[in-house]
Amino acid sequence: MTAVTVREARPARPRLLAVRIVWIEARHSAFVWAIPLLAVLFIYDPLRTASEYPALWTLRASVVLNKFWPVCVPFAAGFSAWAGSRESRRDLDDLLGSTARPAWTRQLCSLAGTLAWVLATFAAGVVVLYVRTAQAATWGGPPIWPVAAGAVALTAICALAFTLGALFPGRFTAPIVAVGISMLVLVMFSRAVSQGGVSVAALSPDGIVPANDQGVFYPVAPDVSVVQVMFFAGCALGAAGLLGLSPRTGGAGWRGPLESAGGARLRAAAAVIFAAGIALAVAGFGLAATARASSVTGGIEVPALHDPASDRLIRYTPVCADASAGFQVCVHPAFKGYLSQAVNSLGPVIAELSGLPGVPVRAAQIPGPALPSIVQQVNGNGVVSGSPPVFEFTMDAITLMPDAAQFRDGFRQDIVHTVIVGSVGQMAASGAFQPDTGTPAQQAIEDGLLKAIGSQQYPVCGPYALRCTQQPQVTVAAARFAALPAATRHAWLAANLAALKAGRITPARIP
Amino acid sequence: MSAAREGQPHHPGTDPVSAAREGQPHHPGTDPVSAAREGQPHHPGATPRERGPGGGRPGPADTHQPPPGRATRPVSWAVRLAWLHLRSRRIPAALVALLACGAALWASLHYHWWLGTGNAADELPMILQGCAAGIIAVTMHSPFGEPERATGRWLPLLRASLVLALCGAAIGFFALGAAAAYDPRAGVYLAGGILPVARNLLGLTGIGLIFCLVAGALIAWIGPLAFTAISQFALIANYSEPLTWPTRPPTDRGGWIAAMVVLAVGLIAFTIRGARIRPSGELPAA
Repeated sequence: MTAVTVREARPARPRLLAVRIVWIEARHSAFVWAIPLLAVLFIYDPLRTASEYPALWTLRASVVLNKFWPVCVPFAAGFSAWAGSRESRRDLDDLLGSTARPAWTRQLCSLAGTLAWVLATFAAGVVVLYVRTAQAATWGGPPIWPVAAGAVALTAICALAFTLGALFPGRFTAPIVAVGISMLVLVMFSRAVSQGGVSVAALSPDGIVPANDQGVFYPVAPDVSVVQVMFFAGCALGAAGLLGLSPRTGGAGWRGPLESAGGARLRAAAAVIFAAGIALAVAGFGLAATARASSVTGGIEVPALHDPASDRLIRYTPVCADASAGFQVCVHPAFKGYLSQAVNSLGPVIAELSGLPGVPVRAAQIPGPALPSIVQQVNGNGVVSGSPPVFEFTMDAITLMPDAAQFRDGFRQDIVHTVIVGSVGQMAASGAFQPDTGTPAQQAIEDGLLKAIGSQQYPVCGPYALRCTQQPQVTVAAARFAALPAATRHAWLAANLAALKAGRITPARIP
Repeated sequence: MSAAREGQPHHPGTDPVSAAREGQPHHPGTDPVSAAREGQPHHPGATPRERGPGGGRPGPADTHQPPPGRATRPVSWAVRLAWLHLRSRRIPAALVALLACGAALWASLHYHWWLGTGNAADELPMILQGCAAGIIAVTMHSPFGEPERATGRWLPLLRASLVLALCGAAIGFFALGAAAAYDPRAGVYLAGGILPVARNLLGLTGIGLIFCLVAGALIAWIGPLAFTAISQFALIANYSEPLTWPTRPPTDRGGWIAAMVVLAVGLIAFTIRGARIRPSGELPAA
């Protein structure tokens, strides 16, 4: 006969019990079905898009919210609604109604199980993107605020969808909630794009692609991210509170007798969480309504949260290289990888024009917002200014013009036009832009010089013209001038540039 | 609970559970549920099962001769079978959901929810098409599982018919929504017309049916949704391959072929095998 000792199982402590339930929920979560699909989607576009962007932290990190986050949204919403409707779908309401713990505890554990997978998947995508960026970037570090905003927004979407699933259980709930929230996100995105990300459109995590040099010369103000975190945290708390209050989901009920487990404490806790969530969301919405574009940094700022320190230039040591006979080209260290491209663009044109009056003595990269608006009107990349003249340029063209030839021609056209013609144009009293394309002779010289160094002609019809045909006399004179030896061209320009700029030379007089 | 346990006689051909509940005597060959509801006596030998040709198999003529004293509508067994199949699949709710998709399309056009012209104009309609395909896929879930498969001889036919009928209904609702919003003077119209809607919906439904086989019908909405996301990316980034047919022009042959092949594969496989069934009706443990 064997004596059997039976040890009494110690009751688990409530915290450990909750962790165990969350672990069980995570192990049984249906979200694992979405992970391979999300991996395919992540490789299909967010990763590909990020790889095509220049290796700049702010720009590549924008893929997290503009590309990867919207992909996660329908799956997070759908599977959370699926988890929320589980008890009713399996007809377990009566069985679970007799358990010791409140329904709210059980439901929050189920929500946490799904949310854990959603956030882990989101984090995995962010890590892959950031590791790839770290391998290519030459300056700066990973932005954390967009990741935080995305994670909180996903938490809110999961909470909202879970609550909807618990409130309206059914086989169609999950797909309808998934698509409904996706449509909402898309409509928010369209408002963000049309309004430039200001006002309440700032609440949309998915927004416009930032300029190349955002976060390079000036720090990115966390204002918008803070507002997004506030708003979505409020939505998440509101949804969680509603889950605990609604009698439809087994909650304590808004008023009346406390029939459900948990009693008065549960109702009070759920009501406080609900009220805090609504207050936080309203505060976030109100702050977002004041969001405006910064004229200094080019980013979006919220006055109540804005720190003036984020409007100060970040100190840096430019990276320079010699383009042609002492002509220095300097770029921000974040654009170090594009220095050779800039040097190759500017070198030949400076060689053609060196020594002429008005020709820049060096080239330096400046922040995008510092470029005169008139230059931005013609899609110009730079402007010659100061004394001695300096070609100040931005590097926005490297994403706008993925073709290296277009990038190169843009710089060359800007410099040639400034030296031969001068201004790019002016704003009329009506507000319309009037481009200054120069006289026919100036156009012929411009085109001849550009042709000689292998570039496209200057767009005389303006940047938005669909079809543009140059006058025949200009084309003939340009071809003639381009065919001259470089020394002859330079000598002719040195002798006739003043007359050419004054408009006293006709195309017929061009050699 | 059986009738024997209640101390009542058990007659073959009756439903002892219902009869026991009602406390009425059982007679072979009657439908105790209906009779008990109507409060009328049961008579043996009154059901089509016993009188139909082929040893109990009901024939169309049987239902046209209702048993005496029983108020049965003169409907054929095929209609009744189809109706029961439709109800078990929650078709009324599915039709309401598809109608809501059509209404959402109307609202998105009428209230200018779209992002702009060109490719961007297709984004919202495409999401709605994905939603409709997801709803059709979820509708294919059977609450009966294996027992239905063991006894349902007409199940493959019903499956295929139901899929095609729901696709037709969805296309019709989308067409109605687009027609209601149509206002060319205000620039409100469905880009590309109804052709791409039909092509996209049919193809996405094919994906949904394939996911029914793999993951079960209740979760099959993830297939159309994932493909919609891929197509959205392709649309925005101007990737254009026949496999991402929603991004192709309305009359593009390659896009139509790809969509129809996916639909055919999904429909044939689903017609033959039906949706994946788990004993619990849920997903397998991860």
